[in-house]
Amino acid sequence: MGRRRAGVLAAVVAAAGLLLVPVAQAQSSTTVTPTGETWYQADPTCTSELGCLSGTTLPPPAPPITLPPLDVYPEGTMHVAASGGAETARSYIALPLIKITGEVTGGRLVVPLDVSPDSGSALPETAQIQVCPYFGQLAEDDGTTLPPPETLCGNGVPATYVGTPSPRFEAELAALAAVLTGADGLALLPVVSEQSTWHVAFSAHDRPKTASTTAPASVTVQLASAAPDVTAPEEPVAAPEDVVPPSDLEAVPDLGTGSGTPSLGEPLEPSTAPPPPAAPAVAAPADADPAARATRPAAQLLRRPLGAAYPVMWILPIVLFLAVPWIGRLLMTDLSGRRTSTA
Amino acid sequence: VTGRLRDPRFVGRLLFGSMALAGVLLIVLGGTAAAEQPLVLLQVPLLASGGLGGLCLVVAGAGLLTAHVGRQLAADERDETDALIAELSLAVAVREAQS
Repeated sequence: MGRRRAGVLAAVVAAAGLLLVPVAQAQSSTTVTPTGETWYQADPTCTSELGCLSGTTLPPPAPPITLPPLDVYPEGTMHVAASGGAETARSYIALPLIKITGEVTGGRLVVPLDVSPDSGSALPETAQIQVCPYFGQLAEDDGTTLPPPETLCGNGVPATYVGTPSPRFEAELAALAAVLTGADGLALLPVVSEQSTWHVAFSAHDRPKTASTTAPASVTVQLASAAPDVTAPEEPVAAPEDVVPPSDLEAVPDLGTGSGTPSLGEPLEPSTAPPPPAAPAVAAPADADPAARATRPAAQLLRRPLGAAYPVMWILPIVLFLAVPWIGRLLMTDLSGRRTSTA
Repeated sequence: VTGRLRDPRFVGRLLFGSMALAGVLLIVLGGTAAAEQPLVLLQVPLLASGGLGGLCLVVAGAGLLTAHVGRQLAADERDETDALIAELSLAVAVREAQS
């Protein structure tokens, strides 16, 4: 009997040890390169007295007015800008974060800047940019006035301007680690303050080679586990058409409408620290064209590190099962006569 | 304390009450951690591990505690009935002896 008890105890301790001892985690990192970029600009008609003619403020006239993209900048340049205290441009960088395996513990976004005035760059060192994960499909045209994808700016992190050796913006993505692998990419949103005017330009990954072409933005992701890197070596730079079209992906129900995206043109107040996460929400794709509206692939939603949040809970049924005889005996013990009779 | 730990009444209450209390703590822990996650996807593991596990502990602990306390009350009632019968028997015996 005693030997059996000792065996059971040893089994419980061994199981607890397996679950409680943290797995040795080796830090590794991988570089993720963009698969696409798009920049959006504020609808110029929104400044008219009639409101936004191509937006949703007014009932759309028949036929609906679709403004052609107004892109006066060199081909393949992305833009984040504010003018007179109002946002004028924001950029979205699509990243193949879906292919990251392992637990993301942090990362760094590096956006080399094109400071050539021909690209529209102006006072980039005064720019204030917030990096937010976004969810959805990007528009095909650069400089479009279509509604941009939803972002989760409750987790936004500030980007810092670094002037040497080459001008660039860098952002630590550790605060986004929890949601990074669930996002379709990163959005660079201008943080506007009163009368702030600046313009930041950088190169898309498919920008034609010119004298002012800089390296595209890149994200170095730090992984907790030593999972094999599947992003950088196998797919250095994927063209946008290489992305699996939504029709080929398994559709999942809409996760709801995100509420964390400030409207384009709406001032995004500067903040030193990101506010606490708002109500749980995952933004839905917000492309204007319903046919192009992205459907979230199930695999993308399930590509999280597997395992329970509290693995120790797996011990619970084992302990309860092993304790059944003892509990049963406790429940069948005669409790009468334990109290001293007052008679 | 050692003496109380040998008392099945106390041990049962302590064990089953602790189970229910641990379940409540787990639910609170899982809920608090889930509330800090911005994505529902990340809330599910916390709620599944903490919430469901805690709920199971609460249900099991409360059920066992209820059964244990019920047995205690039944045993007490039985003891009191036995004591009453003993007193009555003694009274009857005394009465018969006097007569």
